[in-house]
Amino acid sequence: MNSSRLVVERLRGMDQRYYTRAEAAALIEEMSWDSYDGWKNAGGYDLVTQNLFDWGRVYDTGSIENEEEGLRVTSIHNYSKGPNFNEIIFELNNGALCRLNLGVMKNTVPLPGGVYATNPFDFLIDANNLQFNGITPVLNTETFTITVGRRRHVPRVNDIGTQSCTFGGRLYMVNGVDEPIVYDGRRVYRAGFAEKPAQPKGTVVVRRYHNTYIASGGDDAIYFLGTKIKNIGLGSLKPKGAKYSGSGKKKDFIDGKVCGYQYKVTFVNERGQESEMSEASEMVRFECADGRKRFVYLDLPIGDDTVVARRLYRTRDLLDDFANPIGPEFGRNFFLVREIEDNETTRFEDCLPDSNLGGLTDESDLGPIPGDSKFIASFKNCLFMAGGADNLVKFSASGKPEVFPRRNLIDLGDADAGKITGMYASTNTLAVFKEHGIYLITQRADGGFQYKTISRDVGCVAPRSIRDIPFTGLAFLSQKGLFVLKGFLESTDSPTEIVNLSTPIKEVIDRICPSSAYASVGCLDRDNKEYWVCVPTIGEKNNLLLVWHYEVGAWSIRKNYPINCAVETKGGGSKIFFGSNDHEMPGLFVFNNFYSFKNELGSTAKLTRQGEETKELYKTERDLPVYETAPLKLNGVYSGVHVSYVNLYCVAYGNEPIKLNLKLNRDQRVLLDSNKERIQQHTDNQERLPVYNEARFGLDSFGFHRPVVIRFDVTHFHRTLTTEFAVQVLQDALNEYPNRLMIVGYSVDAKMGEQKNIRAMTDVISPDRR
Amino acid sequence: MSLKFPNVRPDRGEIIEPDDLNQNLKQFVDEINGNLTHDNLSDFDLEQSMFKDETFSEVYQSSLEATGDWDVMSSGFIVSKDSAGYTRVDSNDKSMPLVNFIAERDGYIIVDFTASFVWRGSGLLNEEEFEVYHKIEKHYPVDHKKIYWGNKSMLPAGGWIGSVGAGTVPDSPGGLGYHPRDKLSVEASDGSGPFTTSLKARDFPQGRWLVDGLDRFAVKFRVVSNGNEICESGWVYNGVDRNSVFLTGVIPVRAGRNEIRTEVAGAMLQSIYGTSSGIRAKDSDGDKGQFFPKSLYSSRDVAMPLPKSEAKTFSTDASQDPDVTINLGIDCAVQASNLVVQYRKA
Repeated sequence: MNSSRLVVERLRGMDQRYYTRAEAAALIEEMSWDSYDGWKNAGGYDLVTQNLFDWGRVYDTGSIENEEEGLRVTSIHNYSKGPNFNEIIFELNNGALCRLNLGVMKNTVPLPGGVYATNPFDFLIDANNLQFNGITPVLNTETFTITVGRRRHVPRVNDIGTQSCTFGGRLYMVNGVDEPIVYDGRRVYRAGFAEKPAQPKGTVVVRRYHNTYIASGGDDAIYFLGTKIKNIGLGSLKPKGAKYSGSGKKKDFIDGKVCGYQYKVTFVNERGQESEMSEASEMVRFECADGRKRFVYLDLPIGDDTVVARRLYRTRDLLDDFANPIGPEFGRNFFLVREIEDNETTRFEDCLPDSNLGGLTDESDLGPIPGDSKFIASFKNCLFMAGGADNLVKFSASGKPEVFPRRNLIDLGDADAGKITGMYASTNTLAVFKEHGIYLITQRADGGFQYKTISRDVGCVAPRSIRDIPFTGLAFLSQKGLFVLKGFLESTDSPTEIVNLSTPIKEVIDRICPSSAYASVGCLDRDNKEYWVCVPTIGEKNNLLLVWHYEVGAWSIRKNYPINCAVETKGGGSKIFFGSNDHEMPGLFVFNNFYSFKNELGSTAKLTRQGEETKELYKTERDLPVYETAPLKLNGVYSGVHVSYVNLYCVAYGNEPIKLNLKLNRDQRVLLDSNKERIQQHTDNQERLPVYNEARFGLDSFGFHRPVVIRFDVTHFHRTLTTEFAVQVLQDALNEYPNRLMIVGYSVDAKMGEQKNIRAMTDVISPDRR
Repeated sequence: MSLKFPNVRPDRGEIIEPDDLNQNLKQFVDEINGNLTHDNLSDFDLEQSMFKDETFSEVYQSSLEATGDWDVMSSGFIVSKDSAGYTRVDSNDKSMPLVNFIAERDGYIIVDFTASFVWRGSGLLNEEEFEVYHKIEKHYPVDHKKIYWGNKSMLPAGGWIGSVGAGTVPDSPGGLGYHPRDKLSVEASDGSGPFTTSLKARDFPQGRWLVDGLDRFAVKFRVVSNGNEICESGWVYNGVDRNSVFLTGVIPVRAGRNEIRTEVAGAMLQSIYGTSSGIRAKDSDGDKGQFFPKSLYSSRDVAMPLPKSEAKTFSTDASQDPDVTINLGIDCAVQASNLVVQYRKA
């Protein structure tokens, strides 16, 4: 048999289907596709504080009931305001709400072991200067001191925690339990209002005057204050209603008009957002006569300390010339009278004539922010909220993120499609997901919103998995795998379709724990052009990372990612920050290609807390890269293959060995007991480049990274007839300094031969051969 | 964002590739080259010498100062008499302080503005007002005829206006009427007299308490950034004839040219009164509206341009010095003003 060379280049991602293409892989672990068109080892993660801060300490000082649970970061948000203002906001499972601030550690003195005692974050503060430190106010009955603070709701591990959205330069946060809050870079305020204003009370302005006949026992004369000046005063003049006939005088219209008005008040907060309207005041009634119009005196309600102004609305004259009420279709319209720019004034005198009233404001133009929403999204200048008990999508007035007019709601119907499980604004559409349904909300030409049902079958199970992936579509995790919604731009002709992206990794998808999948986390690593979705495996919390390499359309996986929540920073460099759900690995982590392993530096931060003598460490993981090709099927049942060499095309990174093994006939076991290893250098000794720790200044020159061929000799004569084989490239625990590697292709020199000539019967006796 | 991370970790045994170092260094260079923020600097001591001047802020100033005596108004900024609105250039082409600068990047400005101004004139509009405000009637039992206060006065009447003055000649301002050393004559209660007493006028100064002083003229100032108001003073009345304001405020500015102007408005402020009447109040004859107060405020502080000024001599029927020269109208001039603009770069 002659040996043949089988060359495989342009390696692609995992495809676990039984028969697939040669460039596919059966398994790619801890690797990342590189735009040189090769697979390199992926980065790792470590604490943002590296080994300088013990995040378990935070948990120690908090007032947590269940200490066994350990520290978790329950939600994380990126808040950016302007070009140079980016903050990482996160919540902890003691109910604290914090802002990452590594700078505060700088000028403090570390503890003896080198770990800092100062928290690398600030608690956010609310309008009353109370810190969100996770402490509920406690009264010490002995010292009569109150420990004050604020505490946010702590979600369960398989819940999604607080969701956020930036609107108008502010960060709005909801979790379905606490009131919605808004952070403006300085303080946290309640979004919307805690209450609607009380009913105002109004009465016409009267004056008293001492009549001349007081001396003879008369009372003070009380009269309505009036004015003849144009453009001042309430009421109507010159009625054309009833007539009177005085003695000997001709009939004329009565010079008197009974007028009636009602008032409403709204609150305005610091961000210019307006509350619901109060109940209308009782009708203020008075009479205009003698060409004089009147003034109305009002008692105004005062709001809580979030209120900075109030707006006063009024009807026009509610009574006709006969003092009968005008129909509600006209009479109950409320117009703006005045904005009172404080929260102190309780008395106001209204002298604005009907003709000078401001804009018409309907009660249904205003409304409260939904308090129990879990999902929030900004779309077409409106804030959308959903996920409350009513299973409705509600949206704000345009440009007013805290004003939710009563009629601004979309009932997606289809109650059997389950509850709303996610919302994501993307490509001119707001996609709303239910457990078994997908709906697209689009804006109508008149500014309103409409929805279309896209699916009543596929839905989303993990609200945080939804991400818009460049070149791919809108990805989301459903019960049946990871799907992508494509082509739903309003103005394109491309059909909207739902594609199962996870078909090639069916085995991996089957490992996802359905009951905990709700908490899966997705995010986009723009640096490495990857979409991540971190899923819980059976019986575990989130730990398995499915990575979609969107530039090349390939899957790989990574292990030991305890992502409880994650956020990608925007601005100069895109980095993924995530909070851990593993109390053996507590804190806030950042993923970076600089790190080879997981929590390598952070694991040592516990030393000083426990006392140096204990040498107790947090968990660290040293997962190494594995690239296993798909099983190459070379021949039929009766023909064999014998692999002689595997030539690995990889990048010469240095002297740290790259290793290889084989799998035959889809056996789970590898062929060789120990992996074959070769250094990552050119085979020719003359071509080898100087390496760190050995190179000398003046003697050696800088090297460069280039692809080289590394030949591995293998034999499997001792095994059964080989019909299929797979190549495994990896680094293992025996590598002293496992670090960079990159595979760009491979070739196999193999002897292949048939033992018999086999012809298919269908060919031989096919009808055209008769 | 100040959270920067090295990109590459070269390890032992790897080929020495210069890009490994460059890639990592790039992160920090990128940060220093224009991405330093509060995160980098909050707790980080940087010596003053490490920054060139005007790294973080620039300061601009513009001022106005009248030459000569404060009484000489013409060298100051004359507040407009043509408009009650804000003006920034007067009839002599003199400008209020103005700062025009190019901001190299977005930021904010802190303005500090001060202005000192002076009022000159009696504030009277016409002869009728002269009669109402300046006439001092005879005060029993002191024997004299009517006296008119305010000959050549540069101040309006208001509060106490005396008929006893220091001057000895009619031309001296306020000098008409009794002179301090004059002995007072009195009438007896039965009308006989006058009898010259040994009391001197200075011991019993005669005059009139003018309740409703001529405190109806006012100026206000504001500072605007590209037409947006930063701070405004509100009306400052002429009751204090030499007065000052200080205004301060902060406003964001965008990169590019910014003009910070100061403006002044002068006006006569009057409240307009409406009349009232009620249909319920009736007197004993059933007539309505007979006993009602005649006025109420309908519109307060309506601004009208300041009155023109003119020195006018009135012939009076006063016993002493029948000719009185009155400076009708009133002038206001900003005699000194200063605008400081601190531009803080964001």
